[in-house]
Amino acid sequence: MSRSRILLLLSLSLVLAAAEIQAAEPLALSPRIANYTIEVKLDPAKKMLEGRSVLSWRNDTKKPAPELWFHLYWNAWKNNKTTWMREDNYRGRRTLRKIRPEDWSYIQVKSAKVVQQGPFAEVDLTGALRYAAPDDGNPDDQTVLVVPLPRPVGPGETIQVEMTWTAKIPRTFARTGFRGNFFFFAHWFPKLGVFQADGTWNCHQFHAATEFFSDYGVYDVRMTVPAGWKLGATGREVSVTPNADGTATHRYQQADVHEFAWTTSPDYREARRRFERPGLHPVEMRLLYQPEHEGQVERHFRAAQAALFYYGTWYGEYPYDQVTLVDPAYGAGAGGMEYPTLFTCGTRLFNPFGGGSPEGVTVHEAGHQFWYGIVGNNEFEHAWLDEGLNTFSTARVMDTEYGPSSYVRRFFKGFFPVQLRGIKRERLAGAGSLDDYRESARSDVQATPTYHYFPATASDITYDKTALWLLTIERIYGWETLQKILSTFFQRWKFRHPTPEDFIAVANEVTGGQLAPFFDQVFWKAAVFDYAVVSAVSEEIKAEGLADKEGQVVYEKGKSAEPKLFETRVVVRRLQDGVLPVEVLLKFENGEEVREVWDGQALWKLYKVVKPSKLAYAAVDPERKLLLDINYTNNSQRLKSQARLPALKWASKWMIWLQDWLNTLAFFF
Amino acid sequence: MSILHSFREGGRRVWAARGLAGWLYLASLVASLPLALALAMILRRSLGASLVADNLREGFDLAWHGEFAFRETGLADSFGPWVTGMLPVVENLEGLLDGEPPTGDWTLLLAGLVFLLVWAFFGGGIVDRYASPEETHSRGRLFAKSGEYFFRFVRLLVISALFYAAVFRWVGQPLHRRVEEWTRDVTSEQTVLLLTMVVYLVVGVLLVLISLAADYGKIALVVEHRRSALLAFLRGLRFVFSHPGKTSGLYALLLAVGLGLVALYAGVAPGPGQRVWWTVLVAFLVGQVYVLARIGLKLWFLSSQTVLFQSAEGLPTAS
Repeated sequence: MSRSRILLLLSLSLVLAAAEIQAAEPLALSPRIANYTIEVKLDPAKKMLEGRSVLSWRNDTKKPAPELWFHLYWNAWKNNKTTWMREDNYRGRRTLRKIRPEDWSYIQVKSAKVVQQGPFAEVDLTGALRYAAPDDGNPDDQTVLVVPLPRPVGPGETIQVEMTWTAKIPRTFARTGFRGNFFFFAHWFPKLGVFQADGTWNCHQFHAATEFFSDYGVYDVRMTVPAGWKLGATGREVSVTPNADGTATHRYQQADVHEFAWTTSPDYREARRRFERPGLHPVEMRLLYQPEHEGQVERHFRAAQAALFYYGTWYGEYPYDQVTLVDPAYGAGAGGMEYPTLFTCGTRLFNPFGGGSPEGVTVHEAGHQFWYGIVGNNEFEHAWLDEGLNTFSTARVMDTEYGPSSYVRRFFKGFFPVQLRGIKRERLAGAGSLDDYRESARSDVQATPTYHYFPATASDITYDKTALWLLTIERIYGWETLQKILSTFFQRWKFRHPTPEDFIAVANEVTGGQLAPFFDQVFWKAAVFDYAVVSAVSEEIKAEGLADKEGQVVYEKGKSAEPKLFETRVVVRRLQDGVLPVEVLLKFENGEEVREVWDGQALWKLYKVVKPSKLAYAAVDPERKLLLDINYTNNSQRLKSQARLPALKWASKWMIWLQDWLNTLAFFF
Repeated sequence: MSILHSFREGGRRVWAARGLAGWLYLASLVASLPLALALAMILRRSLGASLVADNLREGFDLAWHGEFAFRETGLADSFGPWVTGMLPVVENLEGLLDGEPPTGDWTLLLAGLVFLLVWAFFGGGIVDRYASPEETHSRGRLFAKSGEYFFRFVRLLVISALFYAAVFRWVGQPLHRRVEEWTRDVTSEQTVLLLTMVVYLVVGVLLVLISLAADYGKIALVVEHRRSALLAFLRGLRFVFSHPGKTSGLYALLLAVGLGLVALYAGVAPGPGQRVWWTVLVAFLVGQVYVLARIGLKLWFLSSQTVLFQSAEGLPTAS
């Protein structure tokens, strides 16, 4: 059989497979706009992929599409001139220093053609392909490919485009690539952008600080790898076919997802558990793990189950039949990343229970199945919509399932952890989120498109700030309200592409518009919050001056009232531009409390109270509801400092540390 | 002369001259106490009259520490939850093997330098005391001998510092980098861990070797009345290589005592939870006993090595 005839048959089979998949699923969860049938072969020695894909795309808008725009993500690591590499250097990661010639990657489309179908005739498009750089005009960036069409795809029409391509696998960048015989593939094929209602393509270049955006669809993928290698992928395995050349072809299918990732290695071990909880969709859980992490298998499953249960209960159930957890190889750099129905965790040889790892990352990435997987926001432009919501949710699940984690410090190149069980990480505030946010509070206005954030501080806004203001909403309005916001948003926007305005609309709808001023400050501006008690005085009221006594005017000084009365004066201040009503608490020595709400509009407010008892302390926002307050130490004040003991205690511990260091020095000299 | 005899006799001489440990402990107090008081003031200023102070009395407050670390620089940079329990010991051991000071703050580095100079000052007097246990030793003789050998000991300190720097610069760091390169395609953490530990072992052995050469160099300076620190260092090195079994055996025995001490401290090292004055004081005193024991152990090294050196070389006691 001639080569051209083989290709023709292959193409036909791919096209038919695409049609078969779409037809086989009567109850679609998503609009299934971009559907792929792909065949790919891995050459592990050369670190190459050879692929052929058929995209079946339906124009779901009311505008014609004269072009198709594709992401070619792996070209981001083609050389040091790409937008991704330039931005990564802004982040100070110094990635370039470690790159060897064989580490670079590329993806090259060798051919593209319209498949004859419906109103479309077969046309070879290869000669018309061109690169575009819509975000920064960088002529050296080849992460966006434009495919001009011989005739526009009209509203409601479906076009099928077949592409062949070859790709050099990178040594892991952005959590995709190889290390030894471990391979992880994400964003590895020509991936269509999103055609918008206004008739333009949303197809950004690959940026260092942002992630991805694509339409939901059906994936039918055949992956050929060396026989005997374990393989995990988005979706469920339909078949494994051994080939004569010592390889095997694994076929996976999944509908209603917007990405397809896969991994393979001869070293993986496999474990399976089933998630079953009343009222929630049962899920087959598969863990591909490194042999040296045998002892952590159950920890991974418990964390994944916790995520499926709590997210499922709070927001909405996980609708797919399976999920694959991937424990990537040591040093692969592929850990902690989400893909539909598959995610990577990440652990170490020694990881004490209670330190938050690998549970935290497992819950987080499992949680992305909901925020990212099911609610498919545009991560290029509004990454906070999934990352922020998910960071908040992760912390809540961790707190609910495990309680606060302990402080862990790793030594000797990070191999050996030492856990201090006596030091706990308070949810978000003590777990690093506030520290990261504090440093970047004014770095960017959150409403700015994520790909325009300053790369070095983008994650502080995307992850940490969002999580902090969500926890602030929870503490002020209660979990029931926040849960209603999040679950309404989830249910309304699942398998669609919400924008920030959609989230804010839901939040205002649930709270009756109460959150609008809050979002004005935390989202549309970069307001910073810092409330403080700047002075607290409590003095006994004693008479001084002239008084009428037994018909005479006499001078009195220092006479106490009966019973004794104390005048307490407390000044609270707003030290930054962020304004939010806060509670002010005056606690008296006799246990009495005065609690008032200050609207925070003025720069300061004086509270003057007369009571039969002295003030014990004053506190603004005493329950720490405003998690965005960048300095909480100044939120309270006693009449008299009680810092001497703790200061001496901790200084004495530090002194022992210093003495130990001095004697370590002296020992060797 | 057996290793065991040197070990026992060394211990006896340390105990007989236990006042020396007192002097050195005093030096460690003088070097660290003012800085600790300065830190206490910084902490008090940070806490002010805030209720957050209660959290630090009960334990530690990581959220407060985030604010503190954000605002404070210098001395305060070195303060964190890692100063509690056993963490300081591990932290300092790691810093030693990586050749990295725990801080870039000049006051701490100055304190380290001053402390080393104190050791260099007393070094001559200490070795003299251990080398001639039968003779009468007064405080005057201690200071006289210390002064006599001070500059030679300082030169020896500089020489050993250069050797240490060379080990970090040309052995430790390149080997760690090499391990990273060699293991680029290794997918098992165990393998990388093993190789990294081998590097640490190599670095550790070289550091011990330099430390042995420096220690025997100090002894040679005093008991052989040498003037050249460099020749004394080389003499120490030659002694180690000419008596590898005895010098390393004695070192291993004393190291085992040191590890026992660390293990014991690991069992009793106070955590973050002292809430009242007396528990804070007890925690501090436990730490001070550990510090004193460390000083005693170092003196035990010097004393035992002096005994070994004198007996192996058939030297008379110093005078």
